[in-house]
Amino acid sequence: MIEGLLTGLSAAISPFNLIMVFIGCFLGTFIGMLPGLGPMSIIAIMIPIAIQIGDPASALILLSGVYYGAIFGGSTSSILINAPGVAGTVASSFDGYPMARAGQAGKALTIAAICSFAGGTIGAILLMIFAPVLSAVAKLFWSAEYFALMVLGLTAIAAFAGKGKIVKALCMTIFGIMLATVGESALHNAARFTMGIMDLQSGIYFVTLVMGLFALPEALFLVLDKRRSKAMANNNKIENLRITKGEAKEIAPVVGRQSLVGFFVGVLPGAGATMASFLGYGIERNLAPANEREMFGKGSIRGLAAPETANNAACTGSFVPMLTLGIPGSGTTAILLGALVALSITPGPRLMENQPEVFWAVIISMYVGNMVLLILNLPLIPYIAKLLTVPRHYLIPFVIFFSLIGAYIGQNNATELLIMIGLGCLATLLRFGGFPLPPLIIGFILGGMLEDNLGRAMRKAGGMEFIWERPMTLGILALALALLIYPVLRDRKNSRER
Amino acid sequence: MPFKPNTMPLGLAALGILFSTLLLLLPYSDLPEKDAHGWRDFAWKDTARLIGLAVCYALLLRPLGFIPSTTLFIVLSSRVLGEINWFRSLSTGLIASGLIWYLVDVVLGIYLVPLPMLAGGLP
Repeated sequence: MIEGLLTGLSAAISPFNLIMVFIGCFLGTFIGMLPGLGPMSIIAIMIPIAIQIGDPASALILLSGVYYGAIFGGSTSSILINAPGVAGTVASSFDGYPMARAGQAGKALTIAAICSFAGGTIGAILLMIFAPVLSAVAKLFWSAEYFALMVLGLTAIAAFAGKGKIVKALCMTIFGIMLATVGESALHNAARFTMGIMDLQSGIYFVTLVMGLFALPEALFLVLDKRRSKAMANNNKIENLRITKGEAKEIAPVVGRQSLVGFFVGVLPGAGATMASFLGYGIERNLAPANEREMFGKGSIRGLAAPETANNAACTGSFVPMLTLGIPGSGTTAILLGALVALSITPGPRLMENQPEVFWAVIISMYVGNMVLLILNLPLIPYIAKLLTVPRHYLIPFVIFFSLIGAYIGQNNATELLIMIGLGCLATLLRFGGFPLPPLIIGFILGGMLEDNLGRAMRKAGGMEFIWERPMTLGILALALALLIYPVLRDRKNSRER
Repeated sequence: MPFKPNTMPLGLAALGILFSTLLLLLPYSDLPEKDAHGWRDFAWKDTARLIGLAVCYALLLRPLGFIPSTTLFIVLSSRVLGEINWFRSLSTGLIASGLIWYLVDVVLGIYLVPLPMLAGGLP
């Protein structure tokens, strides 16, 4: 391993590869900030350039840099304008955006940068240690366990179930999963709920939904409620970048825990950064003391640190099945896998033996990439956060415009825009009714994978027997039920005591 | 029990009915939303105008092309929200739409029809 590390180190810190990391991180951050352009589309765009480079290690280093950069860029738009362009950064907007609205945009971005760095770096160390072992564990997971894992991911909605909102949160989750059933199902090739509209054949596009639920209603609320936009204008000071010692102490254990959670969730094929961020958010809310728990969803630094650490650690973790088994751990690594094949590299158990310079250079480039991201982003934070000082009569049209164009460039049809506007109006009304919207998006994101794995598991077992026939599935489902019920009972007990 | 295309939707419908009924039957314990402080205090007209402009933008994006429709959207929506300087709103709209078109179309290679004559729409 030491020999491999040295080989990787010499390859990764060569001037050319350092430039590749730098370019990748910069481009990824910049483009990732544009809603609608997630890491998948950015990496897909960069593949022809990477192939032109020729050297597989340099190409993969460039693409990995783009990947980390895009995740960080996505967090920036989540925190500043509540427009997460990537599913993995949706959870960052739950507390990051309230922090930005409360005049702590600089601090929120600093926490995001540091937690992303820590999560990515700890993830890279774990990758180095556990890659061979974890690939063996991941092989044991069957669709039944994946189904149970998706249900476990859904328990993150309990975080929004405070103050008697559990039934509303559950209704929104079901509605989200229902929206995920629109279009052709992966298992049957049968169109559902398309109402004869061809554009709905492939389902509702994630960016359309997320822009319609988060960015557009936010802009509409700023117009509707003039007092709110005045408060935003007063709170757009960005000098407050520093994290106090007390805050650092508060987020340190979160970073430690969520690096582990994120990494291990990322290793499981199909789970990825999104699942890790939701799970991390839910876990931290459950672990937080009662007074801090109240702050979740209103600008808690723990609530921001948890998904930011977990999604970056999961990005690193998702490289394990890709490099060691040749199985993509997420949509993004599936595209990276395609790039590897195009570069005449066969990922799998033999990659470590046959092309150690590629395997270890990618791992070392993760340390370098995370370092470059931190160096690149920390000095830029005051400038990035200045976005909030744009006057209201330009900020709102631009938020609406970016939401619209984000949905348009992904699908290239106007129907998508009309669906988005309709969803935006619906989301505005739901907010008036006190319905929490994050459970809807969690349900939508996990819904497709949930149905897919449930279908496979039921087909294989001939029914629902797989739940009690497989102890691991039963165990995960029992844990999910406990995670959903426990916070509700605890909140009820606390409110009775008061 | 076979898994059919309607298995999941039927299960979801059952759960939806259950939770909606619970919502109606259980005592209402939500705290009122901070934003809900009286319907008359809200700027409904401006919001409706902006939604109308967004719908027009969605319908005109293809026939009119990206640059003219985006400029028009930014100019009109900024004026709805209180911008009074035509020159400033027009120059912001033109520069922003031109820059974004260049970034998306030329740099990233995602095709966006820039002008109406290239869209096959207006002559």
